[in-house]
Amino acid sequence: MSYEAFDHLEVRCPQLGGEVSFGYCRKLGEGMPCPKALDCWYFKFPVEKYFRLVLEEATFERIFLAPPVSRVERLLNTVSEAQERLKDQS
Amino acid sequence: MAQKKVFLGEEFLPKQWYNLNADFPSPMPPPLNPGTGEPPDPGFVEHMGNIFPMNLVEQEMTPERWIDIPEEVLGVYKIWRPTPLYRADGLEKLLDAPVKIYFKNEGVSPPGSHKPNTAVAQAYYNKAFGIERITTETGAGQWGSALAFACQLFDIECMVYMVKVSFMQKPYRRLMMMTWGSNCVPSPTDTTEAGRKVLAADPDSPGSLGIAISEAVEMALARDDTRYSLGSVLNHVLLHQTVIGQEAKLQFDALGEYPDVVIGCAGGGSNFAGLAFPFVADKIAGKEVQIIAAEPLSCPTMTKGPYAYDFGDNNQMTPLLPMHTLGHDFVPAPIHAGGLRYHGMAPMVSHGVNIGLIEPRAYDQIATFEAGVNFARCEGFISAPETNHAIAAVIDAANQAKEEGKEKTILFNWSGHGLVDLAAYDDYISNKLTRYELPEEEIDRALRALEGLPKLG
Repeated sequence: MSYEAFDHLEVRCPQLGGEVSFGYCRKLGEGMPCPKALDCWYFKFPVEKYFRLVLEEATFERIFLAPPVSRVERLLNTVSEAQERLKDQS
Repeated sequence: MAQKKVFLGEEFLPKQWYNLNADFPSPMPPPLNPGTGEPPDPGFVEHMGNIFPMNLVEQEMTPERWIDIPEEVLGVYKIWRPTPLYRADGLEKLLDAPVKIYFKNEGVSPPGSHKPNTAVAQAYYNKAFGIERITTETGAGQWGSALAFACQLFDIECMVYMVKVSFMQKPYRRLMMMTWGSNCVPSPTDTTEAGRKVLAADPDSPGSLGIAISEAVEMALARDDTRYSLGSVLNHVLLHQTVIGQEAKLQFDALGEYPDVVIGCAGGGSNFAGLAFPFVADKIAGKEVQIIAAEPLSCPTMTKGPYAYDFGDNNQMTPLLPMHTLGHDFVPAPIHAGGLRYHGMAPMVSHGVNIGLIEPRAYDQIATFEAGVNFARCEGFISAPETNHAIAAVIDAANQAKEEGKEKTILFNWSGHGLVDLAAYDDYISNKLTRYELPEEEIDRALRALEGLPKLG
């Protein structure tokens, strides 16, 4: 029980095109939930209530209530981050 | 007996791609810099040019209505194009509605989906730009396998970062990629800084699409002879898919008909756009045609956009209500001046929705599999799970026509077969796709147990 109580439940992930467990979705991003987790899990159990109990309020807001970033914008962001990493390496 | 299918000769293969951007009645909002929220030009071109060949960046931004398809691309398209248009008369009989139903069969391509329409074009343009290696990410492998197929034909090395959880679960598309000679690796890997950072924190990380994208982009930036490739969302990707709708229009001309309703499933938007955009052009020019984009009810982006959440469950009397909600105390964020932006959806499709040219509809997963199984039993073809959303929308439109007593002709994009997705059908057939898996008391008990635990973040 506790954090792992719902980990065994599964849904089809629209990004991956296959079944994934809640245990995967709740710690997808460096140990933090996928920002789409509320959208994908609301019909399985009260997932919003779960994350409000589990996460600090500021973390909940940062992950779930931030304005959406489009795929193109996210791609540009990924390019910038990768350039920084490569610069650090050299 | 009604004609079952319409084939076009190779001479009718479209010679140009169609760019809807040239015909939108109002311009698309530009992409924004994630850091500042301002349009990123001129950095946009530079950023894009770092990861894509410049000939594709030019296509991404072109205002031209028609783009010539290179002979080399047409030569490869001829392996499976033009694709047949089928009459779904078996489904019509089942529905007993006053409708004719047609579908464009994109499952006849070697990888089994619409994806190679752009994979082939992208491989060609990379080769023409002098690129020797392409990197990409893939989830279930539909895009990765299409790109692997295309790169092999143009003698380009292909490096696919497949999210590890899918890599382990889905061997068949991985094997397709390897058969076509590409290097498919489970992400995160130790070949990139992004991957190494994740593995250092969690050596058993199952990966994510975000990590796989980071790895593919980093690898593309690291070498001058390498570029990155994306299979959806971007304008040039949607452009390449428009051969589908152009062929469909010729096939309808041959039948002497025109559809009243055009339907596609929309995840990133590319297969939907491929069929629908040539018809959206007609709609802009004054033709009466209804254009429907079908998406999953779980994870809806267009029907329940980020600023349009429902507040129906104020009393929380029905916590498992099948309704999209961020809760009764959710405060909407301010709307971008450029209009709504949908997570993961192609900007051109988002724009079409925002200005009322495209109607989004959401369908429950169980209903989509029910639709897919009915379709398979009537028409024989087993659809990709995503394609089943389009079939659910077709059934919806047919039932609506029945209620209204109107005769309608419906066209949809059968975007791919589901022969390597049969595990999902197994889940449906064996009743594993139930909506409520836990009794309410068990949920309450689990949530109560969380109340005393330290909060994360």
